[in-house]
Amino acid sequence: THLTPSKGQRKMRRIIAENPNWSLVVVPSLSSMCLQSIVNNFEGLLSQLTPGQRDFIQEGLSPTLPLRVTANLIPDGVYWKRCCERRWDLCDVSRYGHSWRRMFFERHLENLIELFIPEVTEPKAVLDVLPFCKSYVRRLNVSQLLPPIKEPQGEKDGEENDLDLAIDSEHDEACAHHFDFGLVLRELTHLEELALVYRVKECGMNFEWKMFEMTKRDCESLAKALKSSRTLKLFRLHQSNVEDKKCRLLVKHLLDHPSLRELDLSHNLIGNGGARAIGKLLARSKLEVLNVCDNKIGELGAKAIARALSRNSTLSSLNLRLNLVRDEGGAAIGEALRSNTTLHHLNLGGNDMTWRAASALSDVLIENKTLRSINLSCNNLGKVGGKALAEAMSHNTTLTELNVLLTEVDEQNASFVSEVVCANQRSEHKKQRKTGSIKYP
Amino acid sequence: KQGNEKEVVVEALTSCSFSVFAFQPHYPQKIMNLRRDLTAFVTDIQTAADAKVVQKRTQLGEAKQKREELLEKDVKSSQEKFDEIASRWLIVSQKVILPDLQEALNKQQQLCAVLIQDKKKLINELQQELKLGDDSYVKHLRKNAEEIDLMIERMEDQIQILTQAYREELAQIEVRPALDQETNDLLRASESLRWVRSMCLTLESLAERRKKVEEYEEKIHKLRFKNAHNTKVLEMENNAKEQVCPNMELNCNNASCLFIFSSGKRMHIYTFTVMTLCFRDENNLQKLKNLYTKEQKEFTRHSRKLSENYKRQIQKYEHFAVADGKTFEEMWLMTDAEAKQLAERALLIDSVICKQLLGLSWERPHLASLELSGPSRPQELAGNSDSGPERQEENFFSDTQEKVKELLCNETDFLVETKVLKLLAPLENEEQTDMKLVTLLYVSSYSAHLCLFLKLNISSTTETKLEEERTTSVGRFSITLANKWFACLQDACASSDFGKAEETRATTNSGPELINPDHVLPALKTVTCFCLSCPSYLIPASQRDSSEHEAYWESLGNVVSEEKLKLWDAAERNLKQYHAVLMEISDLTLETDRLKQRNAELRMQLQQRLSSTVRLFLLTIFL
Repeated sequence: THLTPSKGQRKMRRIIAENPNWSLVVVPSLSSMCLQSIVNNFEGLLSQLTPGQRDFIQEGLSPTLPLRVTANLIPDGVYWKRCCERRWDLCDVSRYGHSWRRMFFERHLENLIELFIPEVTEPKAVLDVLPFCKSYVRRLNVSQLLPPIKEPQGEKDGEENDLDLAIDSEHDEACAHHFDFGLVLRELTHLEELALVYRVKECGMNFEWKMFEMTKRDCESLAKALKSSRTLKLFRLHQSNVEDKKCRLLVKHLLDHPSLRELDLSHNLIGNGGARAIGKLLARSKLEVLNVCDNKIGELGAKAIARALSRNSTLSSLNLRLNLVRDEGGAAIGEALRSNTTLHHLNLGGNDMTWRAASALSDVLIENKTLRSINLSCNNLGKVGGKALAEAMSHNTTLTELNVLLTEVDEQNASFVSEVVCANQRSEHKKQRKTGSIKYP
Repeated sequence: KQGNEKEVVVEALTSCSFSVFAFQPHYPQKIMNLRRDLTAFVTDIQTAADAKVVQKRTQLGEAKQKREELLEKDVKSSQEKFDEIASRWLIVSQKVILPDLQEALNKQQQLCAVLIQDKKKLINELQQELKLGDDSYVKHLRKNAEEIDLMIERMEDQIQILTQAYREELAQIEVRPALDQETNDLLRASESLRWVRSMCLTLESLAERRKKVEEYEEKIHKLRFKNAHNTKVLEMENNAKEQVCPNMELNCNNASCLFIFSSGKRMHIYTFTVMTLCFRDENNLQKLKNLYTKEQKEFTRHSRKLSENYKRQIQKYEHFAVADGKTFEEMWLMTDAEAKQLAERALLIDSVICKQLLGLSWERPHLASLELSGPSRPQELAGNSDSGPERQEENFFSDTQEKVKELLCNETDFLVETKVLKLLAPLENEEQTDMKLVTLLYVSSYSAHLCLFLKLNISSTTETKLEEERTTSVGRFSITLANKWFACLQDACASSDFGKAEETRATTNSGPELINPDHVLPALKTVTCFCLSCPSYLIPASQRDSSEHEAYWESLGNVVSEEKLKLWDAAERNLKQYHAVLMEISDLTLETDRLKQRNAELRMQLQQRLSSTVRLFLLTIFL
């Protein structure tokens, strides 16, 4: 076409076609052109646009679009932020590696599992989402697991024979089975952290004890699921009434796990038998952090753990807070620390220990150069224990934390200990600064 | 359960707060202290909660124990009561009369009622306890909630404090570089100002100096011009005076003298200044010269010392070499004598064996090698025997050799570099040729071999007196080489037709020309080829007689031949057998001797006995 401004007073434009075959019929309509461009760019619909255009689309898209479509198509960014903010009030993206998409899928899956009612909800509801989620979900923090409404007929368990400590399993038999994680964990190939609590939130007046514990079958299925997950690094199971039997079952399946680094079984009912099993796990895994606080581990269990500790070379943190380790257990752990060169943090708070354990530990403090922090609070160490610890601290230059609060240690020794710890902290800080300045010039 | 909730919340909070504090590695002291104190507050709360949990646990345990005891007691008492009731039933069943039965039944009922009441009471008590527990739990929960709220508040405060501290720190960090910037700018400005000032000053002084220099130049120019003018005028005047009037001479002279004096004075001043300047320079020069001479002296002294040292070393080595040679000779002679003795002995033994044992006639084997002895003798012999004719020959060759040498060198000049030739020009004719020869040899194809040989030769020459010695050694080498060359040349020339005439002429020692100059190069080539093909030609004679010596030693070792050895072995065997037989015989003779002696003794005894018995017999007869 050629554009010619007309002469004369009337200013107007006229389009004259050079092509004699030209007509209005041949001109494509705008809508068809749009469709055509969609067709042409269907593959990389977003990748070929400029950032501004991309943002525009992400701002405009409806957050209710089916996940099947959006999961892999829309990159991390504004769209997923909108999705998250629409569903939840609090959105701390820093906890999810600054990825809104990850946050959305993790929380979406958590919600699905938390609201899953066995034998009422179709398992498909969860399983359908997995194919989209699996490449984004790294952590699952499940804060409740609902029991089934209808009570299933309890099956008798005949495995009582091979378990030496029989704890009453009345609830077990009658209790309902929760969500089966075997289905989920197998699919999630990027999962690294799993935190579970077998309980019901806001139960109100419908409270029943069985709402707050896992059944035997739950435990079995969970253990198998954990074994099947090859990428899991952290497993946390809180407040779920895990006793020796279940603990042993879990540990049995966790032996030689290729990736597990951190195990947290705090606020349960693990006794000596479970502790023995955990000791075995320490020997046959690469655990770095073990947290079994607020359980019922006694002297024998502590000894088993200590034995494993003396041979282990990966564990860096051990938390035995609020157990019943007592003097013998504390002394055994102290003895184990003589030959251990990896443990950095040790928590023996609230373990009913006295000055004997304190003196055993203080013997070790003189020799050991790897320990960074020890917590001995809420033990009845007394003046003798305090004196022993103070003497040991005068020879130690590595410990940067020693908690002796509420241990009946006299003021003088306590202040001396805190002084030494402060000095150690300062020297450590200086060292860090030096290395840090070398690292980041 | 009660503690648990709080526990978990506390943990969550502390982990949260830790994560807030956990991500910066370095802080100033103040912030570090703040951090420690604030977190200490939180951890203290945690330990307090722990302590509470522990306390609660013990309380619960005690309560449980109490309850259990109570229940046990109750079970016992109720069991007793039940037993009583059960025993009474027997009595009841024995009762036949109705009122009695009624009464008994009533009593039983009463007892049962009591039992049930007891149970109900217990149940009530337990229920009350439970209620109390529930209430206390609720209270506890409330209290915990309150505490948690308080804690959250406090933690918020802490966070505020910390953030404020961080902000202050940040502000300081932001301010500090700005301050630094300012101070830096100021410093830079002042520095640049100072620099500019100093630059201006130096520029001014330089300009002044230039001006002065120009002035001085101008002055000097003027003065020179003036002087020249003056002298010219003076000359002119003088001439005029001489020409014009002698009586005016005095006056004029006076005036001119004055003028000359004044100008001379001025000149004198100038020259004086120039001279002083010159003197200064000269002084400097003198000093430098002195220093130079001193250095030179020292250097020469040093070099002399070094050379002396070197000479001494060489003498030492020479001495050692001679001593070694001597000891070697002595050793040789000694071992030789020993070996010879041994050989003689072997031969003697052989002769004995042959003559006495086998009865064969023995001939002394002819051993030429036995006559040969000593490392020096063969050479000496050769030297002595050949001395006469060789010397003659040497004399005969010396002239021709020299000529050949010269010829060679002159003809093959083009191979030698011009530089070398220039360098050699001041040397004597003979030396020149020698050096040329050496360079030639370097150039020629088998220079490597020759270099080796040259080194050998130099090292073998014991008289080394620095440069002179070297040249002489080179000369000697070249002479020896030339000897060989000459021989080769003769061979080569003999092989070629055109060389024949020259050869004959050379042998007759008649012509001044030994070889046609045109044939020198091909001859040289053939010689080099020949030398390459038989490098042994270049090896000195002293090393070649080692094989002779080896043969000599070998022959000494083989004085007794293999067959002889076999013969000896056989003889030894026979002798051994013979020896054994002889030994046996000697043993037997000893035995027979002993037996004989014994026999004699026995005989003696017998005789004695006999005589005694006879005597006895006689006595008996007589009695």
